[in-house]
Amino acid sequence: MDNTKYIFNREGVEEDVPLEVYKWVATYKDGSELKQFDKETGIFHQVGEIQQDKLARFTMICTEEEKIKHTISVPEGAKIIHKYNRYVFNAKRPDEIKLTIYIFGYKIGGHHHFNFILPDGNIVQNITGEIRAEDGKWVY
Amino acid sequence: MAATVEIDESHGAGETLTHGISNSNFGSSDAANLVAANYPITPGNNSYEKWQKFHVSAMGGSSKIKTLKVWRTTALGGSAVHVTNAREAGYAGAAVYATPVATDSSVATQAMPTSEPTGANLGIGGSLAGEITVAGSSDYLVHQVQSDAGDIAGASTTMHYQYEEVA
Repeated sequence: MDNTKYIFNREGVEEDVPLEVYKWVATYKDGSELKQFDKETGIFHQVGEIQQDKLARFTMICTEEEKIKHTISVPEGAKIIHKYNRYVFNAKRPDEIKLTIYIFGYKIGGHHHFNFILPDGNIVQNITGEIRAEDGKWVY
Repeated sequence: MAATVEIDESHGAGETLTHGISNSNFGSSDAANLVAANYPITPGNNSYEKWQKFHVSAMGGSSKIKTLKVWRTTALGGSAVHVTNAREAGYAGAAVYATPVATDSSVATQAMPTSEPTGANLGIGGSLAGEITVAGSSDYLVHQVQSDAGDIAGASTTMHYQYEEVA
């Protein structure tokens, strides 16, 4: 259990950042790392802070079970993609459900490669970046 | 969740704002968080319009919120329709607040989608490609239920939302 309080400093104003179900680690060619949630410093890093030209690998790690991780090798010249698709189903009803799809991949030479970590932990891939909820299923 | 997102709702001629609504029930009253059973819509009449916004009250370390999508499911019953200003094509830009009405909405003029749209259907800053980069709100989501004289009690329409967050 990680009880660290993570902070993002936005132009001098500190923001609390709750842990995500999955967090990223960027590994550079020299072996050094930039962690989205840096436990040693308590600092939250945005994906925009990654030095893309030095990047070798990008890993998504399950926060509750860190042995569950998904790593992609980043080709030379590629730019990392990382975002969340946040869903609110049955909004403002007693059975409201909030789910997140964790999206990561890269863009290179006009081509994209997307990975989606679904709420059940499964990973699917495509090159369009499109994923939608339809009749209780994910369509991609 | 990183960014804190709530749904706000506006009412009345003076635009009374209710942050973080607890329900989105339609009814015969221009009010937030109403108990639908207390304000039934007589068959053949409309609900009052809902004027709502996605409100990002804290960015929580994220850099942008974008691609807002809204849609509905469940059976409305009879020939009732759930109309909105949200749309992927022909989006009219940010609606300017007006006192909610129970006559046919002049802003919500297209059926609410019944499955997740492919792209954004609610704008930010008047554009479907808009982004929230500091705490703030989306354009108004204006929607209304328009019932038919033959409709029966107990119909429902369930809302779903989706947005992209970049951290």
